[in-house]
Amino acid sequence: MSEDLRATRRGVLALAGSAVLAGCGALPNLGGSSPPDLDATRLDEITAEEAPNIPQTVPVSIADDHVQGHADRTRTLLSEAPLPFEEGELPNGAMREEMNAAAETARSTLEDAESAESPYEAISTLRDARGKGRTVATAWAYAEDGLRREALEDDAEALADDVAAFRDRFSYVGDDPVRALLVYEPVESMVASAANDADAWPGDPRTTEQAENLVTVGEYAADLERGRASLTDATYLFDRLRADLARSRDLAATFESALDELVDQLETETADFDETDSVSAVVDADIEDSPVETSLQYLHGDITYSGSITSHRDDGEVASALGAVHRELTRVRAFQDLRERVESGERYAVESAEDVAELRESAVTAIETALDEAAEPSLSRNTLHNMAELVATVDGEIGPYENREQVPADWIQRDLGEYVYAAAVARVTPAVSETVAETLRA
Amino acid sequence: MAPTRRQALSSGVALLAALAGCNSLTDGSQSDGGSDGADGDSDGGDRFDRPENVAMGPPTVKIRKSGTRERLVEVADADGEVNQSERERRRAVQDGFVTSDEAASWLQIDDVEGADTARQFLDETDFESAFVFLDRGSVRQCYERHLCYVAWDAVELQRTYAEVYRDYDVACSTDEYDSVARFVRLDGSVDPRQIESGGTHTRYGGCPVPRWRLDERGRPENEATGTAGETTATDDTATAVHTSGGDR
Repeated sequence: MSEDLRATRRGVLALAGSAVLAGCGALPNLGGSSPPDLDATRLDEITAEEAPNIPQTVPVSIADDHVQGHADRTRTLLSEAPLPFEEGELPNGAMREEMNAAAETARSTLEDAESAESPYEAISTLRDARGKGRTVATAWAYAEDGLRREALEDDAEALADDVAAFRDRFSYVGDDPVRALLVYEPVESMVASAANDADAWPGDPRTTEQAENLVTVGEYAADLERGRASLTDATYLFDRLRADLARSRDLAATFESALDELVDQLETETADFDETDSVSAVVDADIEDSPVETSLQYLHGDITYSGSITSHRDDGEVASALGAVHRELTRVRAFQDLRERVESGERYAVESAEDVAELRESAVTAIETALDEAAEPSLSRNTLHNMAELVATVDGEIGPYENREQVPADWIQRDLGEYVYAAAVARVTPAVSETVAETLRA
Repeated sequence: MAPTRRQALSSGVALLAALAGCNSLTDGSQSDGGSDGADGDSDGGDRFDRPENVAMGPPTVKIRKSGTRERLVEVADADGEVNQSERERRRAVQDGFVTSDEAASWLQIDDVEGADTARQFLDETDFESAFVFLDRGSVRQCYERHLCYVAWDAVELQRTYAEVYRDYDVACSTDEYDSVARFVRLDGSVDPRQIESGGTHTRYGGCPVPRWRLDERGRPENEATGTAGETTATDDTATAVHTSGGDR
């Protein structure tokens, strides 16, 4: 099951907070006692180990020529501009740098797609490549042919119309509700992106109006290109699923009643959670300044600040709402799992680099075990993919530390908390998938 | 993908929060005053309160010189000894507050294109009913700033700009800065002995929605609830702007 990729508010703030500390120098050591030092070379070795590789997939086959269609389109767009732009072609140096960088990104993204682990990951990468390619082609058309925002508005309207037409013919048709859910969740998300992109003069709502220039017109075109690619992919997956079905039925009522039931279950399991509670108030163990405190804070934030089930439901995205419930259930059960562990005496103190190795290894093992033993591996797969990505990201965050032999443990405590988070979520995922599958098939 | 730190950081919210914690830089903005710029809540009042005086897109003239960060407008030194009162008056002009014909006469404007227009702008100002704020600074060469609005009370005056790309066909370097001086005419009067510059706030890409028009969740209020009669200038070519051709 794929997850809601938007970080929760608390998650974002917590992460931003850690960036602040990282960016502004070290936190004053309020505790008094100095934290243990960790061997930097050993940390590099530990984090250089392979993280589990779990490609994202979707349970319909994606033909190679569909994938290549996106790649060809990207190459065509790039071929429309004289690259790299020189001073004579694009005199504004800042714009020139920005557009040459966009072309470079388009090319490297094309290469990434070629080495993608699954066709599903390839098309997801290629949607971005198409966007960057379109930015560059549009920038050149702006300079050379006088193309302006107005000329793109027909594109935007056509995209909005096609999104509406797709929604008109869309239904939750399927056979096995688990398989259907795994197709409909990305379909809904792609259609929502396309709708959003069709209405996307760049800028943020706190800005009155984004200035129109070569770069912003290029970015606008990129949004429209990505939106078009998203709609193409959504249509493709939807049609492939329908074509595959030996027998089919309308699953809307099945999805709706499963959603009701799972939301009830979630409410029961989260009844004791209060956003105003601090983690130390609800966990009966001394975990202060240890990685597990961070993990529990992240999970607590995920649980109490969630609104994605309601928002998907309000938008008529029932499959995405089900995906969000799956996600929430993993978080609440991961919190309980960690709470029980620390309350029964499990320690997460980090005294040496070997403790770091152990925390990372726990996460890796939990992910691999969950993947092997999962009762509903397809429903667990994308959560486990995310946790594997999290481990890889944390690996990248911890060092390398040049010119430094020792690293104070508190520098990386939050990173280590993410290993613990990944382990806990992975451990509970198979059982959550089983609950969701049973409810869908009941 | 998981909602990883990297993704979180790439989102505007996180970036904003992260940068706000370090200093007053927010998406390319800078604050050169003593206080926190328009985003700060250091004025002690409710940050969503409408300031006492606001001018949206007031009349303005700017001059610009390429490849330098040296000031284009200086305040002339006094001839010989001056009393304390005149020293204070000259200091206020150094701060940017031009509140009288005498103060305007102290300004020495570099001989760049647009200098005549600037001089004329000062001459045309009726200091009985208006004053001029002089904002001096530098801008990255491939960009320009549009004045969005000016907010002030008896003790502090803040400017909010949008920094946007200059035209694609303006030859410029990412390594260079240009010096800019901008004259802004504002209605009413201020006491130059009391008021100080509250700094500039610059939003990259476009004018920010003024904070007193944001609801408590930081989202723009419905336009209908906005202050009537104000228009937001995102393009100050509508006003008496003049950009020196020498830097194009």
